[in-house]
Amino acid sequence: MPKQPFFQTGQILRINLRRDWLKLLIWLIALGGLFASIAAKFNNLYGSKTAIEKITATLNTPAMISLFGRLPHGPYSSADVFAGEMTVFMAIFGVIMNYSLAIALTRGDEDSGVTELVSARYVDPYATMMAAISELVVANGLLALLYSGGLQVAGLNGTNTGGNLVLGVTLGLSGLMFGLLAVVCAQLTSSSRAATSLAYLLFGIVYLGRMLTDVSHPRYTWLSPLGWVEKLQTYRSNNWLPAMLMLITIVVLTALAIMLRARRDLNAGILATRPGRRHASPLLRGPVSLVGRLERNTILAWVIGLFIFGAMYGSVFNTVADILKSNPITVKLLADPHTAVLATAQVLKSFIALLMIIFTVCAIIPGLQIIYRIATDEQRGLLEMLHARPVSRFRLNLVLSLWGIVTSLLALVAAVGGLAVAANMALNHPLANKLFIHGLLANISPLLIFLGAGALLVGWLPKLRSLVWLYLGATFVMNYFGRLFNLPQWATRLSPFGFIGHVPASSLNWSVFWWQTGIAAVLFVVGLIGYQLRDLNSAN
Amino acid sequence: MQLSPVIHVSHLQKRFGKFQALNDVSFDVQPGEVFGFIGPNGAGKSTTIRTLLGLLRATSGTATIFGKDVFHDAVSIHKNIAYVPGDVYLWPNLTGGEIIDLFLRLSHQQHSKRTDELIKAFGLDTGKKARTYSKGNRQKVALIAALSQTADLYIFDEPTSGLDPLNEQVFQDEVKALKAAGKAILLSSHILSEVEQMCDRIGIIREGQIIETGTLTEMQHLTRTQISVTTKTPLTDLGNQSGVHQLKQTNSTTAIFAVDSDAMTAITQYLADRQILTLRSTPPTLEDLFLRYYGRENAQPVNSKTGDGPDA
Repeated sequence: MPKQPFFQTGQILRINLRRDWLKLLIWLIALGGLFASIAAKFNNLYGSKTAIEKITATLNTPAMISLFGRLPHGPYSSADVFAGEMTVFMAIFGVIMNYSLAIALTRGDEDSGVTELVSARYVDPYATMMAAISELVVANGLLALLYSGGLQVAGLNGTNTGGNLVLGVTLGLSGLMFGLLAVVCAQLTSSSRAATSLAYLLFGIVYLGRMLTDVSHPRYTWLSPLGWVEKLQTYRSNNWLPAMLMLITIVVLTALAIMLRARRDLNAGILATRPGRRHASPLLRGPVSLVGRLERNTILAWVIGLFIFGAMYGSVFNTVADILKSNPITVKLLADPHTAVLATAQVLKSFIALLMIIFTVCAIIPGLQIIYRIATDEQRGLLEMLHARPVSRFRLNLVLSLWGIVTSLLALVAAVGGLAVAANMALNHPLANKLFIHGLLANISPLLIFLGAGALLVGWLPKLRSLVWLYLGATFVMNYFGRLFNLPQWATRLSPFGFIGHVPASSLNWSVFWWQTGIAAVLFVVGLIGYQLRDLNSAN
Repeated sequence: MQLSPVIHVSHLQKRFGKFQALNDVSFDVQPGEVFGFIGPNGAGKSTTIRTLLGLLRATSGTATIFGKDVFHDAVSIHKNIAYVPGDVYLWPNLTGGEIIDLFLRLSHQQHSKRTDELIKAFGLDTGKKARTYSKGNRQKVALIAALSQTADLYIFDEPTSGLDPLNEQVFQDEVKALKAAGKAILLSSHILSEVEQMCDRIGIIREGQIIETGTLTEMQHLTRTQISVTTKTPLTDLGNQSGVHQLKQTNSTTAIFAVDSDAMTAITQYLADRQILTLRSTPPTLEDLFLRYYGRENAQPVNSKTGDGPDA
């Protein structure tokens, strides 16, 4: 036996890279490009003192702190604003990239049988896992390089090489750390879906931990690994302590993954699969109940998750309202109790409008996944026998589309419900339910357009279906940053959210609601027709 | 023809982009008949079956089941057919039992005593989640769901590739029972002994084209019989006789060779003239036929109808 540990890891890594290069390239270009192009614009956007003062005043409001994290104390340079605005955001995107890569490389390959084929060769038993981890190291290393290099080239006012390095490297390490968390989740569960769910559950916990501590007690943000990137003091003292913490965590998670891998069989998880029922429940009798049975846990998880997500944001509404008291101009207004309530309400309404878009983007995810089952299950060969039964293609696809719509709507209602309940518990002067309901209604038509676009692609061009994910991601970025960047109207109108206004800060526009819903309906119908006519692929 | 065929396929063509998957596929399957569908990997067996199921749209030609168009009337056809695919994939978080029941209900049927008998016969643990099943067990789920269903046509695409010999036997017995009950069965298989034993007629497909259909006896007639013989007087010019192939002579009076069916009378006469001591004749097996059609070596046209033999 060769003495070298993990032998053949390099060889497997090379093969994997040859397979994954395009996917990696797209992620690197998307994230690195986003980061660098925003950095390049920053001296223009926030070059002047007044522009910086204006944006930092906004960023220092609890609403923005809850989304972007906390800024250090002023005075601020352009570089400080950049670091304050981009760090948490890029860390979140890093998590998404790493989860997707890590789980595809570990559980994904195991599910498809690739790991079994490779492991039967003359390779170390842990080599496939180590190759996966190595690929994550490569991806995050390149990303760190792109980040630091991009900042160096952009040359923001107030930048320094030490800061560029600490920001880029720590973001890379943060991504890698969450990637390894996903590798650990992949050892615990027995399918890539379950691994993804577990990993995002953990992410939700650290995200909420970061958000809640950021708004109230920033010292405790150290408790959330996602909060570590906020402690860099970029362009100030350039703190490398978070990077150290991440390195230690990475080593611990790697060891944990190896240990867990040693304790389980290939294709099985540590958490055992329980036996189930010998006969189907009387309810399981058609496509509707089948999809419900297959997706019930996912739907429940999303509904509960988004309810909590909404409630957490609702719980900071009183802090958001308090901010008005610290602003000298508003303090005067607040002397009059009537104006005080109005002014507070206005701030909260804008905040609700922004949160609504974030909630809607989240709510689209499970619905789109269900609609995409018609293509993903086809690819996995699951529909072959179903299609040989007297169930029409049209009916099956329609059922999936309807389940997708219902799921997304339920998830959105849960998020808004959580927000409304918690906000009104926290506030002294509760907000009218109408505000939340209008905010919800305004976002339904963009939600339907995204789902409709998905249905269209799976009907005609299932291979291009990831385009909708890309579009959703781009929309999210645009709206998350939109107001901070003063994007021109045509740019915001590249996404259906650009037409609805900032409900409830602005009033609900029913005509937009109806024409967008109409477009969505057309997309669904055309998609259903396409699926009716096209060839169905066999499993591969 | 007394009965109208259950499956009628005529000059079926299917093209995927530039790739011509099916060139010219024609065959019929009658009620009460087991039709064997054989051919090497990639010849177009599964493509034909998937077209018959309405999963693929034919580029040209006609294909009907129960006299209805396989694409446009798929749903009404599917009420009366049962299908087992070659690779069975099941929803990993449902149990085998749940999937069997679901499939039966989708075909408007119920879990019956017969279902329980089949579960017992195949020895399937229906309480396990499908993700823990091996290939053979996944295949059993599909087989039980199909066999416990009442249908007029049963389509099996390499149904026994993951089964152990005992389960293979169970499957063969079930198919015989279906045949006796007057059902039509389309069986695609690589296990030629299985096809030989069970099928009434056989269709051989190569490069998207049906090159031969008929009963095994008809096909055997088209090929050569293996002869092993010992005679009293030397077989001097055996190699020069027409219809003799692959001659191996250990000594002057002992020979092993293949003989064309139409030369049989002449050769037996020739051998008899040299006083036969021992004679063993082996009729060609389906495997011989198959290799004859597809084998790279010794490939020769079998009859005039097919024209050129396979490329060497």
